[in-house]
Amino acid sequence: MKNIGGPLFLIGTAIFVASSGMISPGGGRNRNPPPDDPIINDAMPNGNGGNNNGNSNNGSGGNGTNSTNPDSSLPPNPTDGSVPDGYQTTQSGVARVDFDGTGQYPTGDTHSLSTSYQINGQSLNGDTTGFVVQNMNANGGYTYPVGTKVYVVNNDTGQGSWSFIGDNGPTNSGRNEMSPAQAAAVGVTIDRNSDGSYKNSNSDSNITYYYYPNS
Amino acid sequence: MKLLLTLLLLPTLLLAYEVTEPTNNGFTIQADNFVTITTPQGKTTQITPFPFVTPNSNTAPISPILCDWNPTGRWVVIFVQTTRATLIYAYDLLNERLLSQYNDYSNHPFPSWYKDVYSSEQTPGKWKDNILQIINDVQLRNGNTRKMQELLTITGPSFNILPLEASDTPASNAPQKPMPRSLEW
Repeated sequence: MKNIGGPLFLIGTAIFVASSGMISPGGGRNRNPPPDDPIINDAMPNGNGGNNNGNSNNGSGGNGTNSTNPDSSLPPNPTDGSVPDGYQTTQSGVARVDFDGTGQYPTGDTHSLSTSYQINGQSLNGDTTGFVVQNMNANGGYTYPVGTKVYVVNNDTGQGSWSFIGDNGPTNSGRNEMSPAQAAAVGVTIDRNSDGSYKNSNSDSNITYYYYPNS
Repeated sequence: MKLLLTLLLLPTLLLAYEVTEPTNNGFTIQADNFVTITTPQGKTTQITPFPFVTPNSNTAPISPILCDWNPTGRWVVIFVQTTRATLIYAYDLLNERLLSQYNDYSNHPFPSWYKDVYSSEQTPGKWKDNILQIINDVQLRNGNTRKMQELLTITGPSFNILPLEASDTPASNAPQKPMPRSLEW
């Protein structure tokens, strides 16, 4: 879609090719997402069920497990059940599991292979990385850059976990979207089929996000 | 490392994104890694709060950036479509200031089907005084699509975008009932 700037584009392309080669002589690392990232709405490949991520909560109540920010470490979760000071805005709603990214997804679920937060051009895997989806324009008019720290609280269980904005979604619909790993980190139950594969994105858990753009 | 990152970002910084109707009455809107507006006197204001592309993010627009100039030349509303959502910015051309957005949904609930939204594409409709009609094309998680009207209302230094009541027709292909509350444009 880019409106190419003639010679500047050629210079840029040349530098891009050169820089790509510097990083990965074998050409194995992509800086940009696929140009036509498909919105997928079809069946999950056979044999991919039974997801088990490393962030699963042990169900013991109290604090949730920490989400994984692959770019920078997140603070340790409070041990007294409190919400850390310093947040700017909050967003509350019913949890919805979002399957965008490179992880697994339920049959028939509309989703995208890419996430806004990327590491070296690679989208996140929601099965292994806990992140939340920011509702654009829903935070009292604030929109935060991806990577912004978020403290996630499951109001039903009291579990809390540090996380970050890994993707963006539509304006407030009363839903707080999060990756499967993040859902597990705060004790949100994910509907599964008998073979362990994801069934759908529904949940009844009441969730609050606390946004920390200044930390 | 900084040099490497600069080299990586350079191609993006050199590119510009397509803007529809970028100029009006001496004002010019440009989009490279940020969207900016330049006044007839040459004063430039940054519209988007952070860059489209950084080493750790890609929120670049996926279609041309839409500029909707108020017919009286008082405001311009800018629509930036990203993968799942539309970013909307409003700028006061008279006072040369970016307007802040605050949406209070308490008296303007979304239709029940909107809870299943996956992506939303908002485009401008008609202006009436300080109110801009917005058409929201919604894709639900089951693949169905719905359409919803919203109103962008500018008041002083701020604006809001609130949904009009919409029908709850279950299937996307079924005829949609007219909205119970609407405006004559």
